[in-house]
Amino acid sequence: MKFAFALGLLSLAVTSAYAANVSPATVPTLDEGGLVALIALVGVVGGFVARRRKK
Amino acid sequence: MAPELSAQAEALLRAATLGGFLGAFAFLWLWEGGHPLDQPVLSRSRHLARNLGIFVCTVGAVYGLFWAWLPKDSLGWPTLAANPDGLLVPLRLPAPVLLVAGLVVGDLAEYLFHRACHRFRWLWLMHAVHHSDPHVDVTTGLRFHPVEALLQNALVLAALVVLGIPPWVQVARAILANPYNLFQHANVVYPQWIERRFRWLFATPALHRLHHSPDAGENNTNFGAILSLWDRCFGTLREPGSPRQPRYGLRALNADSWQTVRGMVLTPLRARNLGAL
Repeated sequence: MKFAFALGLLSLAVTSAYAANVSPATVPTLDEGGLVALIALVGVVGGFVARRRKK
Repeated sequence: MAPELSAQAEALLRAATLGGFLGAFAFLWLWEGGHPLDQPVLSRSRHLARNLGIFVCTVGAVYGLFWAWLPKDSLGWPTLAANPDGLLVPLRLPAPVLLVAGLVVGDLAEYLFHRACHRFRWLWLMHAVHHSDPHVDVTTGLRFHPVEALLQNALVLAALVVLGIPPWVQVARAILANPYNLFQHANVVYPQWIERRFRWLFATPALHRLHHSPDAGENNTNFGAILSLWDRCFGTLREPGSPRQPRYGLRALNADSWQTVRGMVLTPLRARNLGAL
């Protein structure tokens, strides 16, 4: 029991120590060019699907 | 003043305009390769290269000779487009109403300009570049003479300025109008319900295919860009009859010398002595 408690404290200490040095997570965002490419890609994929579709 | 959008929203509109255009083009081009409506042109890549060539000239002319010279604000909009004395400004219309007004007025301006292109000889000589394509497909939607495109842009901008419609409405309209133009010209078999359900209001592909007929009696009908409403109002609508093999082009301009990029750019000068096209 004491061992588990000590381990818990240790993990808390390690986590806290690291947390101070870790920068906040950034959310990846698309710029205007990326958004253009993404929308165009939807068209390309849709085109390939339409091309392969049976009549 | 008319409602303005944030810089972020305007960037989103611009991305949707360009992305939607590129995506629609890729989608229809690939679809045409699988299931064409009409026998495709012998060399699709050459046809694409030529129509892309005139498109590059047209985009260069419109942006290099027209838009580049207009004074612009920090977001890149022409300053004269934000006209505080516009006819609609005193009404303080909310953005959605302005959007619908912009769509309808822009479409009417295009309808009137299109009719003028078929009515006046000097405009027709330029517009003939679009009609001289003997194989209408998605690339035909790119095929316009640079001077015609310049005049059309100037006319649309003038309409915006007079009415005081903010330029973002025009961008929002382009999100719909540019892919729709490609959709109208694409050489694919659309589901029949598109014609059945939408022709009463929209200028559907079948209506527009008839407009590309070499016969003057048929190509002087169905001028609508997005809406068929104007053709109904002004008596220029012609419903396609029984299904038939599509016929396209202009008989006087079918030769290969009219189909090259140089031939298309010079069409208004070279064709001016040809008589009826």
